[in-house]
Amino acid sequence: MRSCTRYKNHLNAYMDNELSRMLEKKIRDHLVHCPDCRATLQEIQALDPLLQTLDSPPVPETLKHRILSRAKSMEKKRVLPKKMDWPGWREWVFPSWLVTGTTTAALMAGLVLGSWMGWAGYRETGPKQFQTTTAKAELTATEFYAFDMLGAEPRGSIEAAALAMLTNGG
Amino acid sequence: LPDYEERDEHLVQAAGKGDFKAFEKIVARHQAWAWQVAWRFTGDRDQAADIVQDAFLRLLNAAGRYRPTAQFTTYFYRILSRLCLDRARKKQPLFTDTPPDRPDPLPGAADRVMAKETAAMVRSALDALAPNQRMAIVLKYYENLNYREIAAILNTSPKAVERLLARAREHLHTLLGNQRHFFS
Repeated sequence: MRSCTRYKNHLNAYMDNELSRMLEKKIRDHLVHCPDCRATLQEIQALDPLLQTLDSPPVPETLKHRILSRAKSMEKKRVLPKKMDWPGWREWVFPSWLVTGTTTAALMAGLVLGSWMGWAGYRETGPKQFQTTTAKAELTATEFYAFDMLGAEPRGSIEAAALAMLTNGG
Repeated sequence: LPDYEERDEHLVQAAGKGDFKAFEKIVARHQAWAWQVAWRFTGDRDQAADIVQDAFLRLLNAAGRYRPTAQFTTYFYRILSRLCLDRARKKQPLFTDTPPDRPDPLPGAADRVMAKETAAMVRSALDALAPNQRMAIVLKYYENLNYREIAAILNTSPKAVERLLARAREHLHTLLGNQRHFFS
């Protein structure tokens, strides 16, 4: 009985010629002795002529024309935007890899040049150039007065301010 | 074998490069069987025509990316069956467009009426199957494909196809079982 269930599971594949020769032979031998499996196989086989009664109607004459005209309109839609495609043209002249590469190269060059200039300056003058002396940094009262002309209520004339700056700055 | 230029795989690739004549050849060559699959699956002319049209348009759309790794027919069966299954999942099964009965004056009229009735019954039974079972039956009985080919189309294994067909046949037998004369 156990083997019967095992063979029954293969009856569809047996009918469809999808089994290995060995298994096919085993099932053929089993069918000789098992009326139950033979009946199941006959049920499966009986479907075949029945399903063949379903005839397909002929292909509609207009189908090909319908497919081709839809395909043509689809192709037109696909081609038209390409002709006026401004981003496409721009991409051709300035491809994205070129833009990205140039930008990166320019940034790197700027960085290297800046570092080199800084280092060259440091080597020439030594660390003094980079030290801020308090005497130089502090503005005198007269220099402050010079900037008074930029205030809301300037007290002196422009000439006086310029003179003060020249005198003290020098 | 047809010349390389005339082979389906080459024609699809040519269509992908804008050769519309190549696409026309593909349609002329494959519309008949595509129509039969779609009609046998849906049982409705309009739906079948829509599916076949969509399948060819999808083919054209994907033709630029097409690589002939498998046979063209398997590739197109896959597009077609997917559209059939999608439509079946979205819509309720639709019952047939069998032509209206008319008196048949020719000899053998009774046999023809009987055949029509049988076909209508088979149609109803097919429509009652789950979509993937119905597609497996269509591909097996009407397209004579083997388990491996059906598995490639339905994106499953040959073992799963065997089980699918077994369930479909069992279901069909139950649905048509009351027609004792079919099985006698």
